[in-house]
Amino acid sequence: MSNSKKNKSDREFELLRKLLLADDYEKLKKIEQELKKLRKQFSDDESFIETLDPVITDALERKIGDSKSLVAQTLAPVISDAIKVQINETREDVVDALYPIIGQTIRKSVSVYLKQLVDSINYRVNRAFNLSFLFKWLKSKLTGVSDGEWLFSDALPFKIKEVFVIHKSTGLLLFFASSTPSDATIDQEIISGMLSAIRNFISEAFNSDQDLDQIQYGDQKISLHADRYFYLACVVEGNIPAGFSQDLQDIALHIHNRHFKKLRDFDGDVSVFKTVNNLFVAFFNKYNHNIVPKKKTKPYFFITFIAVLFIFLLIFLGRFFLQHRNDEKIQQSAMSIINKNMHLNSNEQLNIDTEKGTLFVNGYLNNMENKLILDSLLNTLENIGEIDNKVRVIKPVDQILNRVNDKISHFRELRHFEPVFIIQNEQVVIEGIVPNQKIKREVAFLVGEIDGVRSVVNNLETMSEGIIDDLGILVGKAKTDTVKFSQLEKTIRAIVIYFDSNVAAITSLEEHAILEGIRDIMLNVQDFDLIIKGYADDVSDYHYNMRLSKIRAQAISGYLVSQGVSKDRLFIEYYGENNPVEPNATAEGRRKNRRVEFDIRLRSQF
Amino acid sequence: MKDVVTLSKKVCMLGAFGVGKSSLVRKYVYNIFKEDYLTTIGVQIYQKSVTLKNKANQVGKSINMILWDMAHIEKFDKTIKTQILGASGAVLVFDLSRMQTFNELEEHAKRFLEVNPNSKLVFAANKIDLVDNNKLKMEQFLHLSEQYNTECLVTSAKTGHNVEKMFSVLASLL
Ligand SMILES: Nc1nc2c(ncn2[C@@H]2O[C@H](COP(=O)(O)OP(=O)(O)O)[C@@H](O)[C@H]2O)c(=O)[nH]1
Ligand SMILES: [Mg+2]
Repeated sequence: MSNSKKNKSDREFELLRKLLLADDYEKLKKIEQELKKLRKQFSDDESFIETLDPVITDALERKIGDSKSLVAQTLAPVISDAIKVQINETREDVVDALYPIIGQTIRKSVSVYLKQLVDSINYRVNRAFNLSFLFKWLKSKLTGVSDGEWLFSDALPFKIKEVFVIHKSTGLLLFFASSTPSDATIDQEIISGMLSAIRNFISEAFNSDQDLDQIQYGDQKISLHADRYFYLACVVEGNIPAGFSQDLQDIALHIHNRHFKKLRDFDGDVSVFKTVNNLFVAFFNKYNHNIVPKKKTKPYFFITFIAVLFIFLLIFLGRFFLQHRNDEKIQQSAMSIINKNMHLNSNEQLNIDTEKGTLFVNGYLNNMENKLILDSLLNTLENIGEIDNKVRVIKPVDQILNRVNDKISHFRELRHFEPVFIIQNEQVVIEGIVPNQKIKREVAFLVGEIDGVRSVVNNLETMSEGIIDDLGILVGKAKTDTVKFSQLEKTIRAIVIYFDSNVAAITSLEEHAILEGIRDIMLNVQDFDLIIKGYADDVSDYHYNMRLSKIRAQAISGYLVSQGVSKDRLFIEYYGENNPVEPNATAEGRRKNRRVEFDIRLRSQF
Repeated sequence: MKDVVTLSKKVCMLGAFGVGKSSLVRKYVYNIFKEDYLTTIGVQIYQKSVTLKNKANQVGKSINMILWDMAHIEKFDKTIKTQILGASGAVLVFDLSRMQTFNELEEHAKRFLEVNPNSKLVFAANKIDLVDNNKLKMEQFLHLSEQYNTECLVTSAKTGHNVEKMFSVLASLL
């Protein structure tokens, strides 16, 4: 392209710039000087090393503090090629100086200056969007000056590359999505931490009133969107289109509304945020399509084409925009009226959406009254097309929980009976521990019978499945085969039965099941005797404990006899508080010492 | 079998200058140790997943530790405070060959807990390879670990002694 043309366009551009920036022009000069100084400082090795010195943060803070208004306000509206070049050339140094707290991983590639530039340009462009501006742009197209000068951005088509959802106070990664699934080489968790470190630093350095919302590195930008509990970091390429920011905000709002409780009480469990994926699928689809390479077109054809297109676009966008605005208004008024007049429980949920004037409402409420309230609230809304109300009434959790507790109350006395019921909609997830398989099945069955429960997920674990199973296997084997003495000995020695304080009775189902297992073995394998050894903790006096341990052993023996085991195969030993397995100092230790153990020996007279 | 959830937790390295915070993290995460002293510039973030077994030797819980190693942590200015915010745990490191670093430790613990009151701590008496094991009196550190209801482990980023264990102890508390 010819030089004169370029110069002319430069001049025009300069004029435009003055027009747009009239009030900022003086400040711009100042900042140019400031940057020059900074740059000189960095070209000097010694002072560069100084910047890495621990005092840098202070120095920088002072610097920013001194010229705070200068940096915070003036930098933003600056549009100048000169500055752009300067920043590009000194970017590394500027970044080094600005972010002494940022790790090497992305420290080098981050520049906040460019973010502010791009921001302000977008702002200006939106404000000054009129036909004359558009003509200038068209002209620059025709004269061969790249639109890069117009917007200072890359000619790359816009594309969303990655999305991070980062928990604000911890910097932990809640969710990550990428447009290129194979591209998972960089450690997203670390990036998340880094981003929040940068963000923290910026808000400190700029005295918190300036929220960092964009970071530029290489061809890419990171657009940051802050919510109260998290922020969205969106890695994009190319010019950020209008509406993008709004979309991010919408997504953030959605995430907030749906997850704010989990976000507020975040305990590190990120799996609960998997569902936000849906939001981003649509988001990626919306922006990452039709990336067509530019074609060379004839100037006059081009200009007519663009003009026609523009008019259509204007009409279309206008209508779309109005429609969109209207939809948004409807949605917002619906939300506010609901928020104002209804208090939703944690298990109640309402989703509200609008499209072309129709209001879509779905979700679930606890009771009919709430649904009636909702219906009447929706009816008060004005300027609204249709209402598509798919809200269901479901049985509230508390009610279900009460019924569950009623049903299983008779198990509550059992030791090792600690199930937890997690009720979601009409599904009950049972977690925790119960004594054995039988009870595990029984609990799930009882819960399944409850009115209002649609499905049961049984994640219960059983206490001594191992021992009972082992006994069962041995019994099975004894029926068909001979069981090795050593194997028998190993299994039976592993059994321990525990007692409550001052108690010698066998209470739990689990223990009965174990003793029945022992009985079965004794009936099937005849050539051994069982030794039952009683113990106690060290509470009360020595003799009492002796007696107690004896009674405990006798209780077991008596039960086995009642179950058909011959008395002359059972031998009792008792040790009182002797031979503790754990120190009696703690309650848990004492619990483990109040026990009966078993041993076997070959039967002498068989 | 119950699904084990993985919890992500932020953990900070605290302690005086040069006690071996960075070295411990690097040893733990990358299993490397370098003698040359590299001042941490800004903050370095590392990630390591820990799986903890329960008594029955089953997977008990799984922690995704995001380790924050910061420079100038000893200054405890506003910037540092923002950076440690949201942490669930901290490793408090001191240097057995420089006992004054131990004296500063309580201050670090206090300040950290001011920002994150519910977080858990573990103490690392580092550089055990530099001191005579026999002369070491662990009792002198006991009051700290008792006060904060945790453990104090002698470690060496150089030999790797107790490094893994120290982080596991912390993970088990999280
Ligand atoms: N002998 C020995 N040297 C160590 C050990 N840990 C760290 N160092 C050295 O101590 C110096 C400071 O370590 P660094 O990790 O940078 O300390 P930081 O300032 O706390 O991060 C380095 O020269 C390390 O090589 C250790 O366990 N044994
Ligand atoms: Mg360090």
